[in-house]
Amino acid sequence: MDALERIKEQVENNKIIIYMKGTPQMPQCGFSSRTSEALKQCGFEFAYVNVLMDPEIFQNLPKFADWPTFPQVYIDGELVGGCDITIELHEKGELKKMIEAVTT
Amino acid sequence: MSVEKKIKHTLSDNFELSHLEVINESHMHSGPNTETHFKVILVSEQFEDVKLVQRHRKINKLLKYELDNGVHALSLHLFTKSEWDTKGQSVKDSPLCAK
Repeated sequence: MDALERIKEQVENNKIIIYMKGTPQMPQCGFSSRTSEALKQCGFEFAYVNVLMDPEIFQNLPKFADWPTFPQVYIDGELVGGCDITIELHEKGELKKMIEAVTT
Repeated sequence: MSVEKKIKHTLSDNFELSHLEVINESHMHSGPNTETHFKVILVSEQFEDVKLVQRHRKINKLLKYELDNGVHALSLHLFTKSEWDTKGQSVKDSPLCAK
């Protein structure tokens, strides 16, 4: 399966997924760290892909949703955004609502 | 022209601006290149009724050349005038590379 198909499958099979540098426990980039922290604070489980451990995904993810940077958050198969947007939504209380809407 | 200036020019040419800041944050990160990390604060009425993702896409498109050629991080803070005022006209500091 090529990388774009793998990404498609991952975002379709996981209600909430973050593509990040490192892991939520051990983030390797400040932007990834902040973003996964915001997801954690929403209190629901989420999937993650460490793009540093998967060079194919690292290379192809920007093409997938035509979004050039990491991290990237997807809810219900749709790109929410990167760090700035996720934090903005979290501060407004909207991120949790979006997550609740797809998990409950 | 420095990347910082180029970004400023591109954005001023394409937006009716209320406020624009382009901040080179490359010093906060490791590596020899000094123009890799930028933060942009752009306030424009043109963002009225435009979703956040679409706002970002617009900037990413305008700065595609820079993103393809060395700019590694681009933190975007894109507001309408009233959103910017609600925020007290300030945004959070960007994080350092590894937390």
